[in-house]
Amino acid sequence: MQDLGFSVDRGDLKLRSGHWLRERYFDFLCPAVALILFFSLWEGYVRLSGIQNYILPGPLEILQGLVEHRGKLVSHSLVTAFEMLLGYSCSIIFGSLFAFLVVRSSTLDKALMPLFFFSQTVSKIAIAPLFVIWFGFGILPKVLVSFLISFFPIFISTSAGLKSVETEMLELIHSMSPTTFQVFWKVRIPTALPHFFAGARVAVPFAAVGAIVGEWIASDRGLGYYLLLMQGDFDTAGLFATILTASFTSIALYLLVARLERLFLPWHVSVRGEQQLGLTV
Amino acid sequence: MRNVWGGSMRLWKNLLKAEILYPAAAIALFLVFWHLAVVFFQLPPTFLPSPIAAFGKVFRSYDTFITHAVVTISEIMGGFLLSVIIGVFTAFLMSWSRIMDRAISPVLVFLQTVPYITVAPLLIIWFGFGLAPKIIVSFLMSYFPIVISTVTGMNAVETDMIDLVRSMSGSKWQIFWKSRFPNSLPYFFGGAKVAVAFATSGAIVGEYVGSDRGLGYLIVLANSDTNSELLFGTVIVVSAIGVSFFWLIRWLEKILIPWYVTFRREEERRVIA
Repeated sequence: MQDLGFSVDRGDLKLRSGHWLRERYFDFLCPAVALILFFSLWEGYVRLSGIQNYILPGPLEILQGLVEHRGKLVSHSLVTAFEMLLGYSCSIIFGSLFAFLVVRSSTLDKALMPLFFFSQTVSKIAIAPLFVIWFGFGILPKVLVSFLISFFPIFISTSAGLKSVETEMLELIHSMSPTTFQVFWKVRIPTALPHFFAGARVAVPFAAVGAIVGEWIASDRGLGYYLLLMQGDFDTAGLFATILTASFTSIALYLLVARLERLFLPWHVSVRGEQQLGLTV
Repeated sequence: MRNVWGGSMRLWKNLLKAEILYPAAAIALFLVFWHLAVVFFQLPPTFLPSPIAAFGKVFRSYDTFITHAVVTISEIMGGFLLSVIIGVFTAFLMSWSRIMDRAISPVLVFLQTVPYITVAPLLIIWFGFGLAPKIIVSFLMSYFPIVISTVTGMNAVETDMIDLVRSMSGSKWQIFWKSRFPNSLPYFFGGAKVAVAFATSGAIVGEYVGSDRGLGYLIVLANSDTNSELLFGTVIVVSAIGVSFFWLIRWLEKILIPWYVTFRREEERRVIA
């Protein structure tokens, strides 16, 4: 209790480390109180100041907008979710594939790494209009932007994971004269999975950004299109509702990935709790 | 004597190869392939201009690019500096007090999954077509990598270090200033390198949504005119800006935390050699 910086605050709150229930409660309570306070202040400000609703609608009005636009929001978010999922799946497949190749062969490592790092300096968002010129107004340019943006975090963390195997582990399995497949299956993949999932979680909002930016450039459907429509109408409550829907879409995929992570890595969950914030790009 | 110098020369050459030669070769190869593809398949310039035409465009109308680049650069710098200031302050709060950490970190985990660019149209309604909305989008995109890496660095101090400061009856503030803060700097710079690329994307996206100047505006303009030379020229300029910011941060890192850069170089040498 005496040698860590935070023990002082703990004492103030009369929380003892044994009482996990109270700690959990506290973890939940702090953000909940903050959010409720925030929304009530917001609603109060909007009511009292008489600010025009096209500048700042209150939380209740945004809820109304959500209900009012629900049909359109669902259909447009399905389009965006589809583009996002396709782009994201491509980056999962190609990201892990290239990570395998790079780890498998040092020649490929030397040849591909500089190219990938060079490609990182080109803003994918800046080249999005190119894809519209090349591939037209359909779904393909959006999927491509989404893929290109979310590819790198997955590739980098997976290859880092595949490389981070301890030498002792490799020596151990090599003493049993394994096939290359066995080395990957028994040692490298289990080591790489936590890294892979860390990258996959970071990549989710990137995929959403890619799909929405693609829709901004040229599209007549999708949440990106609907955002600009709402902006043009000065329907700010609808705009907020669309922003919320886009966030929900992204968060839903994030939760799905987190769920899969728990499924695949039950042994790692306890460690993960503390590292949830770790952005391993 | 000769051995020592010979050895270190070899190390330097290896480092040079990995840092400059390989990337340069990759870029050169890429440009050659690009040019050959255009010549070989006789692609129309609206579809894909040759690299010579694209770079030619940059040199021919450099004054246009400079005018628009100045706007975009100031937006990037505004957004990035804001996220450094606010991000480091947030990280400070989180490492300073456990209550703050518990209040802020769940919110951060949640907010990290939000696609921030969606607020760009809203910011245009609030702040008009000026610099402010782009700076804010740029800030929102670059804020998270900075907070997360800085707070990781502040919390990754070895307990022995804290005990050492405490054994000399150091105050909480001294513990922060003498051990947590210096320890966070390498992590901070790692996050800043990621963040500056996000800040660039944020500024460009902000300009897509509503603007009458800046490189993002130029891209939208080129797109609606199907002026591929202008489009590629702008992409080249945007990339050059991104790379320059990256190198600027590396240079700052070298000046501010020379001890860490030397350490990392030693590590790299060991790996390469």
